[in-house]
Amino acid sequence: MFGGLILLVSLLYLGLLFAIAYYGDRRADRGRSIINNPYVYALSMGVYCTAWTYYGSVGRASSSGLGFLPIYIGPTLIAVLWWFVLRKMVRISRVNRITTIADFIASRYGKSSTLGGLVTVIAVVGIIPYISLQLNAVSASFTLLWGYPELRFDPSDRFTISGLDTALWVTLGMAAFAILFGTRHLDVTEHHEGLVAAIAFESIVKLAAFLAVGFFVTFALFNGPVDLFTQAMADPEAARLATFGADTIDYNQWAWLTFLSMLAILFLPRQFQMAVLENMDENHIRKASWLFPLYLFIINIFVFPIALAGLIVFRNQPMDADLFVLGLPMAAGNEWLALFVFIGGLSAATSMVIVDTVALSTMVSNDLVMPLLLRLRIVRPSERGDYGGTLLSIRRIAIVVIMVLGYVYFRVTDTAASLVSIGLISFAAVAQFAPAFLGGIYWKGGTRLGALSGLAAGFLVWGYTLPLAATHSFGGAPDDFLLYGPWGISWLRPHNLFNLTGLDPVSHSLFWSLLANIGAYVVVSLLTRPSVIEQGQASRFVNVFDYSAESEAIFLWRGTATVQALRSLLERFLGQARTERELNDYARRRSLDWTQMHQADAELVQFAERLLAGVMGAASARVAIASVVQEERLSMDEVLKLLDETSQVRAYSRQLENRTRQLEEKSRELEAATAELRAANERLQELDRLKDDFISTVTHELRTPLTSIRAFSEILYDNPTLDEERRTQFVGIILKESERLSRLINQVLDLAKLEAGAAEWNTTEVDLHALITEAVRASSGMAEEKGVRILTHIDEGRPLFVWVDEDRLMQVMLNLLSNAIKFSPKGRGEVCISTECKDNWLIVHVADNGVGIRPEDQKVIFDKFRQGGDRRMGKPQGTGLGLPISAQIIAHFGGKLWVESEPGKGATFSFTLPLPPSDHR
Amino acid sequence: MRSGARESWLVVLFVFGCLLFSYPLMELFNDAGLLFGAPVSVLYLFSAWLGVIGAVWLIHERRK
Repeated sequence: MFGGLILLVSLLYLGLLFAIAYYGDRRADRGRSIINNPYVYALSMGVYCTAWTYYGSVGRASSSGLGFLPIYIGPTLIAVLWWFVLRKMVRISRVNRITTIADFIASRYGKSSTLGGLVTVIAVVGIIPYISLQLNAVSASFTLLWGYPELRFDPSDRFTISGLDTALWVTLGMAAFAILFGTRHLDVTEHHEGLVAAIAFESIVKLAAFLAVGFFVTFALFNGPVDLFTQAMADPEAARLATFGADTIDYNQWAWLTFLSMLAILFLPRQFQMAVLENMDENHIRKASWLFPLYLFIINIFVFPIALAGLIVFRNQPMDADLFVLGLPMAAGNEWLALFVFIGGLSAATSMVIVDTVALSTMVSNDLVMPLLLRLRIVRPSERGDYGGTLLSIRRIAIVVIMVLGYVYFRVTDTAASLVSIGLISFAAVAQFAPAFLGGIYWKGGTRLGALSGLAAGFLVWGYTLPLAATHSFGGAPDDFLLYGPWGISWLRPHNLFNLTGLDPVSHSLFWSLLANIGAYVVVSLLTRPSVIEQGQASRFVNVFDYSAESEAIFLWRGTATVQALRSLLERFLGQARTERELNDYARRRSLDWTQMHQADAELVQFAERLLAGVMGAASARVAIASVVQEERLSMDEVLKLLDETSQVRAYSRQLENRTRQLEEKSRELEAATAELRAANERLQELDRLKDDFISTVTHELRTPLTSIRAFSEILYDNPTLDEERRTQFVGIILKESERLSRLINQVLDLAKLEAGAAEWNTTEVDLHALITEAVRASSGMAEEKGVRILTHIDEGRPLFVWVDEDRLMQVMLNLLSNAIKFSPKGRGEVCISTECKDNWLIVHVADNGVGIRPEDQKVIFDKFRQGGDRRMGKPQGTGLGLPISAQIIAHFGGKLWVESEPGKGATFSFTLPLPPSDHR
Repeated sequence: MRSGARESWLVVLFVFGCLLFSYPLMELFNDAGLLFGAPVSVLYLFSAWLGVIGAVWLIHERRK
């Protein structure tokens, strides 16, 4: 009857766990997390306390006294440093979407799938003894309770109750439970809210059950702790347990175990899962670093009293000390408390099995099987298919295999070994992660090969000195292999390597394995050169706090991939709905339009890789991405540059940046200066050329009149007998040429002054109409001489004022008039002057009806010494400086001088002058 | 608490805690004799333990 009750209550309890997990997931889906607080976080870390703590600690205390404590003191001490170490682990994992501890180490050393595989193997092999411990404890406690009210326990009963192998059934039951519980979600980086809630609940149950039995033993079986201690210490055999010494635990072993458990609390896969991966908020670490040790403290208060009580109560009765916790209430006839205690033990064991199998199966699927399938091309990400389901199946199979291996280990090794000694084997295994892990987050120099050799060396030494040795001590009696070493080689004895004595097997193994591990890790790391991606990852891990989450991620990638290829890859592992959602979110955040985007950029590829990494681990994700992406390797220099820019400590990097910016500014200034210099140089050369042209033109222009003056002077000089008429004619020519010469020189000087800005300007208010009238009168003699009529279309009565230098403007008017008269046909010429006002401008036109100016000449005539018309038509009729000077003057007044003409139809010269604002009313 | 002071206190506490739970200091209290009804060694270990926990609480939670 009672046996059926045990089964019923156990099933009800497991059902309750499911209900809690379901509720936790439901709440998470609705965005109202029940685990997002430091208390649940600290409680979920209580998964550290397994059947080892629950049953084994008392067993340990009854033989080694206070030797059960370092396992809890170590975590308490390391928890002091959690704010540094754990927070860094959490930050790195979140930034890199780490899924397991194997993924963490593989990611750090260049997303190496070999390394991930090795860590997985170590973790699985290392945790198997630990799982066998849980099976051992549950089946033993079940067997003992099954026999109630009889109090008889024979270890071999575990295999034969009612012809059933209880351990095997417990194994299969737990595997089924772990599968149902742990493989419901695919993406392992999404928080397992339900799981965490259930584990936190289990922590409460086991604590309550253990405290219940503690109070019962101390206050019901004895009259309080004083009575219990007084009775126990009266027995010298029990009193010795309260002291340190060779027959309980010595300081050496104490120190080693404290150290070992410091590493275990950081690197046990289930602790990593709960403390790192399920962390919701880094600030929860503050509370957890005293709440979790407090939990350990409370659950340990009654261990020593229960052990002492067990020794007293079962003094004359054979009873496995590991079962005192259950045996005491049974002996007292309290079956309900016994049942509660059994449930407490069950919760301690199930929590460990669930979380560890979730962590290990994820490792096996992501870091061992998937990379293998990808490399062997059994799974081809580029082909159609749903691989999310494949991953889940791998995880389920892995859980069964791990549980069965635990069972096999349990059957093969010494079934009489105490729970704690089995568990310590696992602790020593996960301690092998410490060098590669801690080195990885604090030392950039660690390389993939270093980590591989360190882990392999440590794992081999561990395997030889602990689990292999354990299979050679059946029934607690060591065989020849342990006593004399393989083939009688004494320095190869597994518990006394190199004949080292004075250490217990666990400390001995830990010493040699860590020595080999750290030695190989450091030496090989120093001897090898990290690859490009390793350096990038090293920097991301070690300097994780210098990166602001994702924004500063280094894109150590260059290559090409199509958006379509990436999308279908994601669909195969994440499912269509989720892919759609993630990509749309991504597009919204960056305001992209998928229909416009065909080629994926580095950022998108990295985003896809991180998504995949959340499902299948960094190493697998990398292989999968590589299958659809054409990668180009970055050169070392490029990467170093990237690293230099992004990975330095903030202050240093800002300094660097500043200096770079200064340098850039300087070089930009230099460039600008160079360009200016070049331009100036060109301008100078141009000016030089112009000057040469000018001088040669001027000289040429000066020489023409000079030559004729000289020629006629010589004629007059050589022929004194020349008749009067010819003499007068020649002297007239000389006079005219001299006038031309002086006019030319005056104009050259004038132009030089204007160009140099040295001319004197005497600006006054001038009536333009009066000025035009004056100019016309001045030119009338010349016009009459040539028979040209001058018409003025201006309103002479109405003054039109402008601000100019009157003499200069007169110079322009006269120049334009004389040009017009010069080029007008003789006798029937007509020059027309008109003014108009347009906007703020006053425009003056001087039109003639002469030969006009050819289009190609219309610009040229404003150049110095250039004149329109065909040179063959005869001697130029002016100096060629009038128009350039006029243009300069008008430009000085702020106006413009130009010409419009059609050959044969005359030319119109126009210039503008700004109207004074007062006239613009 | 001054910025950075919390971090320093944590490191100091870790070193001090390691000393509390190792050879020379523990040997001082390595005595099965009863004090307040409990063996001296047990009393020492548990009170030192609680002391460390209390100190962590003090560093993290006070004057935040």
